[in-house]
Amino acid sequence: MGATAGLRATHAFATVSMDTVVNVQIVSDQPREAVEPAVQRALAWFETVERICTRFDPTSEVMQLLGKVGHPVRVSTLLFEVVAFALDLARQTDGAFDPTVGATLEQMGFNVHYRTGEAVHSGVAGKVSYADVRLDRRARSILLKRPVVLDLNAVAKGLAIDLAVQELHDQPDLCFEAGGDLAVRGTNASGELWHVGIQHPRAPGLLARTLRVTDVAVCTSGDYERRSPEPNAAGHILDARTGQSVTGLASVTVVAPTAMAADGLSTAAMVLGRERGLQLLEDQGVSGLLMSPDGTYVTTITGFGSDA
Amino acid sequence: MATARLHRGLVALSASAVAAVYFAGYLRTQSADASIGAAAEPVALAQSAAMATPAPTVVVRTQPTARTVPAPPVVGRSTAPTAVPAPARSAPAANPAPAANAAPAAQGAYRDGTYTGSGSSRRGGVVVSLVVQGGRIASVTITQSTLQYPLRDIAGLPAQVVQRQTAQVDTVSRATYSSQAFKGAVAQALSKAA
Repeated sequence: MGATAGLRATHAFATVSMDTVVNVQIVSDQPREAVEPAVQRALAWFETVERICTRFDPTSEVMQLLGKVGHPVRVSTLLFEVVAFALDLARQTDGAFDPTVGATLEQMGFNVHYRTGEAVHSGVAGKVSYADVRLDRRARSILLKRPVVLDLNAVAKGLAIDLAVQELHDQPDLCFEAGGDLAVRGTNASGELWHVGIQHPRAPGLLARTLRVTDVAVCTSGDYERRSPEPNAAGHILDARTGQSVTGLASVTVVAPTAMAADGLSTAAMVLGRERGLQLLEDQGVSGLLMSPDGTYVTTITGFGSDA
Repeated sequence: MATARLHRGLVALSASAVAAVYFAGYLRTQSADASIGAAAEPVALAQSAAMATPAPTVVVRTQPTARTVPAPPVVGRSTAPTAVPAPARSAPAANPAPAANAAPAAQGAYRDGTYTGSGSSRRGGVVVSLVVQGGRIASVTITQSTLQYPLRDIAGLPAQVVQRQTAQVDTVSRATYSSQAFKGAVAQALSKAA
């Protein structure tokens, strides 16, 4: 890129947020100190998204809704948009993906705040669905018809990545990665498209594919990462209709223009399974790779056409 | 599915959601919103060791390899030792520590510096970085993990090490192996500091 290509260096930053490691690589001819303030602002979005959307903190904005069941609550733009998107996703998967599984996840042992180590007990129980959450866009309000713990993990991290890279709009070349979900822009330090390896879900350290991409988000949902500490070690992705961990697919990788869409769609496709998951991704016009536990896979028509 | 028409647009919906949130300038107005709590604290940035040599390939969905468990609140606030709610350490000098590697008998028992230690279990291991300042354990950071479980299971343990000034921390129920690996790593780091 340009005449200064020889001076470009990769500035790497790492921190922990949203229960995952966040790695930022900025390729720039500027010194690290010149880049760092923008990176700080980008990471501040992670803190903001987490603070508002976490179900592990009873004082978060989303958990405060529990105190006002039955009443519309005016909320921040951020919470409104996250919930609205999660409900859209729920509708379009006929409820297979459903953000109201928070209490169920809690009861399965996914209830420990990673910062404090403290377990949360919302006391919420009973069968709920996304139909128990009502939004009013004009009033920017959320109404819980009954006590619901919203689990926004499937979209909140993606949103945080999108906001972070938006904050870094001055940087033409970057890779922003959080727990395996990432967004890339421009080129790497060698001036090439970014190489993104997709981990094999059953062979740690082995790559299933390597993509060469730019100006996209790549998110993977897998059954192999967060497992419940319970002895039967259930996965963290539930089919809301059955309350069971999904078992049909080992991982789904989605390439999309936004991390929010890639994150949400990869989770939704995990729940839907191979055929319907593939159909969802095709319908949405995004690229995807769906791997089964036996190592076989299917891909959308575009984006994953050949091994790289 | 009968909702095919609705399917158009999750990508577009997400893009407009991101724009709406970003341009709402949330960060700039959040401090006015009392219900949401304190403004974001500055994020502690670490130069990522894994990235010191730029990796040619960004691997998606690896297990976390460099996780900093957020520093316990006691760090850097020069909390007096007596403030530690310590059943075992109210009188450090007089209290023979039960553990092999032993709470310090007096201030300055550990040599100042940064020490690393590793510990393992049947379900993977961790590496910790331990900082001693003024003879006391000032912070413990998990810098690498090959544990099969999420680190949040043992997220409270680094703070306990700082509070108790010893590797003898609680075993987290249902995270026995993770706890064991962590304690081993701290014990090893402390043995270097002794």
